Amino acid sequence: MNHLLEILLALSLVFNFVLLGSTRIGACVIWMAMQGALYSLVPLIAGEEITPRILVLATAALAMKGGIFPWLLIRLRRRTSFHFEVEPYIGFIASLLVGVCLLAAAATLGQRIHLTAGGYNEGLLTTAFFTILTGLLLITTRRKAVMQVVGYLVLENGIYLFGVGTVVEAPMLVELGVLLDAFVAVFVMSIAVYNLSRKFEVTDVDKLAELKG
Amino acid sequence: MDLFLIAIAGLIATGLAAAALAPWPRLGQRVGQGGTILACGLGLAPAVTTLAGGGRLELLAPWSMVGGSFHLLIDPLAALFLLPIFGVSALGALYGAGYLRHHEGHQSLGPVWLFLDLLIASMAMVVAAHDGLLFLLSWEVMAIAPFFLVAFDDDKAPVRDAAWTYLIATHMGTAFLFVMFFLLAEEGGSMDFDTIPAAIQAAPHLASICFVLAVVGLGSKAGFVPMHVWLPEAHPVAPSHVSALMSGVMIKTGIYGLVRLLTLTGEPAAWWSWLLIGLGAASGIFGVVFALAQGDLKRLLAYSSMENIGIILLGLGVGVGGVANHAPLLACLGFAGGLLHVVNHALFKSLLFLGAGAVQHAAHTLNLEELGGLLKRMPFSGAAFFVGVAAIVGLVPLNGFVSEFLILVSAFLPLATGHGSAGVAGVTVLVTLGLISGLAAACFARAFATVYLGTPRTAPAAAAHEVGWEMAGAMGVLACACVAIGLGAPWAVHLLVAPVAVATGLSMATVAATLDAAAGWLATAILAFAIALALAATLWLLRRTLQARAGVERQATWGCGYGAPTPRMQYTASSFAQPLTHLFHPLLHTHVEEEGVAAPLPAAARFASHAPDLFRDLLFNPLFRGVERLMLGLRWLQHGNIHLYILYIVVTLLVLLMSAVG
Repeated sequence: MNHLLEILLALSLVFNFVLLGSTRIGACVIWMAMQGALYSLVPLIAGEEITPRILVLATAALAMKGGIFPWLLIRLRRRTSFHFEVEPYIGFIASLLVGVCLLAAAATLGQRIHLTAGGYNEGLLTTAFFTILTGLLLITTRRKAVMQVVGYLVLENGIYLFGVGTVVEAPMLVELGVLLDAFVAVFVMSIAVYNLSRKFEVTDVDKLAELKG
Repeated sequence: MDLFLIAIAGLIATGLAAAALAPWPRLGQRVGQGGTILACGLGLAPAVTTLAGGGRLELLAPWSMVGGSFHLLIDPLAALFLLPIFGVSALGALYGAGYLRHHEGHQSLGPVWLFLDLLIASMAMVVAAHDGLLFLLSWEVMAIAPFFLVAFDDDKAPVRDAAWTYLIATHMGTAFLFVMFFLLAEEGGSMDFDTIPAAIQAAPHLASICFVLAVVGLGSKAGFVPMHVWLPEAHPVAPSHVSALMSGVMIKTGIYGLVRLLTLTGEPAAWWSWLLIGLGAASGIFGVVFALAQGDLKRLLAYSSMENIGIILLGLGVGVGGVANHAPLLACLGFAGGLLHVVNHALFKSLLFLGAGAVQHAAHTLNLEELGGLLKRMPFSGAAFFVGVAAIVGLVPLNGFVSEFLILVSAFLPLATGHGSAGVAGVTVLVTLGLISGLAAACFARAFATVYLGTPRTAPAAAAHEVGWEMAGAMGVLACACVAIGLGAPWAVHLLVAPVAVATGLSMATVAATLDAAAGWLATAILAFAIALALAATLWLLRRTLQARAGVERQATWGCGYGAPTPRMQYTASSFAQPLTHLFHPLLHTHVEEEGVAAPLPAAARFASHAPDLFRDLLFNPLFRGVERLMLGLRWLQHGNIHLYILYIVVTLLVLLMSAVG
């Protein structure tokens, strides 16, 4: 396993903790985008040789995760609210502590799972699991609707890492399809959140829960 | 097999086309009617050739479904069931267009045709499927399509309730079938029906488990007691041609599944026969007693379907006992009677439901107490309805007699030959069938008399008119079929040789010998009847000529010779049934509201009676209320907080992952 990949994975672990500890929405979007950009490089450095297929995939992922998604979200945050705070349900210190527990869980999973395909190390699996769990934690504990989108994208980052890292011969079409799905989801969610804020002047998810019949 | 597939595709295409043409109701109806009849005609061809020729049509096509195979098989047994499926459906479509005509422009008729065609296609697929997954898939479509048909008048609350009752009942049944097929697939390694005999051989204890699961699962479709509760709810509210299809044909797929399973499980245990006879006796007696107490014509017919399913079960029970005790005579006659009654009931019950639809169409009500005297206003419908009534109570020379005769003979024989346990079963069947037939005769005499005879009880009934040619034609064809099977009984019985051979696993020669003997007895019975009929006709002519000389004055029917009779002097439906409902009060628990006649100069009096379903009130309502109470205890989990919902998912995911790799 080459060192570049390990450095990259370690860096993204740090990003996850930064995401859990950030108080500002804008910062979260930026960290999420940087993590996505890092992950989109994984196929380039993990594979033995760089085929045009992998090149196209990496470029597309980089453009989406590093460019379009954060741009959509920053624009959305500007247009929706004057609040820049993340407003968590549980405190930032508590989030970080839960994050440590999740990392432990992810490490256990990474060690125990033995994949038949691919020859990648448990570090990659651990990172992928941890990213997925971080995304879910962000979705469950943050109050602002924009942060749900950010959590969803972190989750998607984790799944992407899992996919490109473990299933070597995954058809490009599938990976691109997943990217396209994520793009559509973010697009729809942005529009929904924007319209919600125009209509109700709040994007707090627990206030929206009062709307149910 | 090609024709069968074309028929299925044609039905689905017709349904879609009719749904797409919904904005032009007249055209949509024509397309739905014509396409359905054409497709059903195509489907009839392979069924008839297989039944007459005794061959098998098989198709094993590649299918991308995991764990399933697209395996179709039409053997004589399947063909026998396909006959009513396609035949009655074609007539239902012919009738349906006329029946729905007054809804044109008020209510979208596209969905009715779509779901009707889906129902027909899925019924045919259920019967032809030779793979568990394909069977379950078709079964599920067949379960869901009628839901939308039952809910046709969905602006009425009772109709919606009936539709939900149906949906819940059918899915509870399907759950048992899933368990059964998965148990078999686990042992046999595949869902294909061909692997079931090997699976049973490898694990003999599975046979009885599967049989019980099948009886519950298929029985909830067929309407065995106590899983019948959806029949009297769903059948009355659906459009009449749909009721005819559901009650006459769809519930028989449950019987088909049971017989098919019996051909695959090898030798049956003796107690299976007892279970079937017991269920048959309970369903039959309960069904006919409740039919007797009903005030709504279609509800009465629905309970009567349950009664006839009971008769079919009695036949199958004797047949299974015959197979278990190696008595080929009993096996052949029992199965022949049961299977023929499937076809016969499909014919006369559809006829009666179509007849009830004609009554509703003409008089706008199905309440027996508001009808009367329709025979003078609707002579054709009345005559067709009479044929149906005579057939269902088993009068010679109609088809109901033929199948009940076979079952009776199969119950008599062991008494003569002196089999021990088979003799007890025979007595049970004889007594039960006698009781059922007698009560059915009372029940349908009451139904026919209060609807068609006497004088009209209300103004709408007095203003009734004959139905159009489409509705009349469908009823006429069904009535003719009832007469044809009755008069041609020896030939009809001969056609049963191949299906009975499949069902019993006996050789064609053995079955043919037995059934030909039975056909001989039938021929004698019909001949005797013909002589009696000729005698009666002579007497009637004699009486007529004598009366013509004496001069006869015509009075209002049941006017009792009073000077100014009113329709209220007639027997009402509930007064007609009162002696019998009183006798069966412990079973019926009829709910009566009465303000009787007291003083010498009485004030206005009032009487209302209502017979709620015993099993619904005493078994299912408490059961579901208990489940509801249990579920209410879990309400705190359902708080509407999205964050916590997602947390549930996360925790579940983690626990599952951990336990999977742990």
